[in-house]
Amino acid sequence: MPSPRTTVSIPALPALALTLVLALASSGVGWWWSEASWWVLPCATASGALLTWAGLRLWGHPSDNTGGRTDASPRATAHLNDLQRQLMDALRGSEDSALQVIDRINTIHRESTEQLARIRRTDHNGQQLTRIMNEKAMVDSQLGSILQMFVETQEKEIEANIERLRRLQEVKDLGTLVEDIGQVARQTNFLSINAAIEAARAGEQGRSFAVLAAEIRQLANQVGRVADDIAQRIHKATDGIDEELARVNAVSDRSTSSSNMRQVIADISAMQDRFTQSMDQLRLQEVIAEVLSGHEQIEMHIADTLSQVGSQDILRQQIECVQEALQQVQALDGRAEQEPGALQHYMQAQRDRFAALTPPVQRGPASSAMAATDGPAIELFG
Amino acid sequence: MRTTILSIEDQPDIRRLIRMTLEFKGYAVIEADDGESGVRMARERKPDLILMDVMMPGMDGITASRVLAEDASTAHIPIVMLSALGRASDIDAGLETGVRAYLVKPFSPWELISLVSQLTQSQPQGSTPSPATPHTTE
Repeated sequence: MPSPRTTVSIPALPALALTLVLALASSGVGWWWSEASWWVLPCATASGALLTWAGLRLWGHPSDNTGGRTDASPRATAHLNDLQRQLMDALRGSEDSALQVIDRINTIHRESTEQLARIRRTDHNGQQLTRIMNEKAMVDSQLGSILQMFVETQEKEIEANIERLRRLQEVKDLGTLVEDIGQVARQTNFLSINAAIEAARAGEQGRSFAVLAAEIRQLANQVGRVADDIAQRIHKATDGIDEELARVNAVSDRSTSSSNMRQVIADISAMQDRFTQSMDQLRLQEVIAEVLSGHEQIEMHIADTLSQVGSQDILRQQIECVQEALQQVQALDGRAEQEPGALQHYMQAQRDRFAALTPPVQRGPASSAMAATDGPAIELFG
Repeated sequence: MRTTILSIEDQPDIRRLIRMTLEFKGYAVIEADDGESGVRMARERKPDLILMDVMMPGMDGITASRVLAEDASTAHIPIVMLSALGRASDIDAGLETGVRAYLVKPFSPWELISLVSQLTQSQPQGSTPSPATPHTTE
């Protein structure tokens, strides 16, 4: 006796799409987390393939000749039970894998947070270092300008001293003139003596001339004493002036101390320029800021990913929904003749229930950035 | 009696350089390393001029200048601000407190000597300083 056959009418394409979504979602999770956990890949891919196979077997392949319709029989009912169990196994395996992935991501997130704190400390230290370097550059520059002032002042004072010595040397030259004056005074003295002798020979007529000769002699002696006094004073004031001038001239030779000092100042200035240039090239703060920004992005991606993995719970609810529907379809299948159209009504309601469990697609900035730079974004149940 | 300058500056290096510059030209220098002690020293010692840093821990130079300007016993003392802050807004903010001039670090020592000489009407020892171009309220 042929076994009764009940025809289950289910739109093939939407059902197949649902199955594929579930399968691809599971495979997608496996692909993505294979970066961190290689063993998740085969596990999740297998569960995805299993779901695909189950869907095809249950609702028929779109290429078969039933026009998207398939039949269920008591034998098929036994297979449906098997498929339910397999779905349950796949669900548990998927949950276990997701929990392990979450555990690992939590570890990465914790380490990443600690790393971020270290980078922030480095950033703070870098700012302090930059501030100290800038202060040092400013102090060096200030010191250079003050040394410059010292050198300029010293040079001017040396020049003033040399000028004073040169004037003193000119005074010393006056000594020869004073000697000439003394010589004139001595000759005048001799002349006055001779005049006095001649006046004495003239007798009474030469008396007044003798007085004049005595006055001249006295004046000549006085001039001689003043000349000697001036000569002594000039000698005293200018004693050693030649040696002093020679020494100062040697010291003030610009090829020695001042030029050396100027060279030192120029070296300090050049060193400071190189230092500033190096600081600019190093761009320490910019580098630290870039590292900090990059790490903040990583942390954001991890947080984003954690939230996506959390969607595993939604996946579980959806699978449970499908699982329950499978049982219901099985029951309705048996009462298809008594309740024609019940199965179609149930499947319509089932699609609504499944749609209600499907979250809207979240496309946050982190997900977008990740999709653009790190690889394809995971969009569970999108 | 030598002209006395009070230098209020928290950075020891800069304080030493200011002392070197002023003593080199024959001025007597007394020092304070923050705003509070600077104000206290100004009231006690009545210097002929005050050189005031702007950024200091505790009471900053802007506040200290205002306090000294509002105190009848110190209001007559000319204040010159010395600061690494060289933007026009910083200079305006400094001059608004009533200080006589604002020098940006690193400053020209000649400029500092010239200002001190001008504001204290004293003659520095040694060579005549070069003409100065500080930011002044005059």
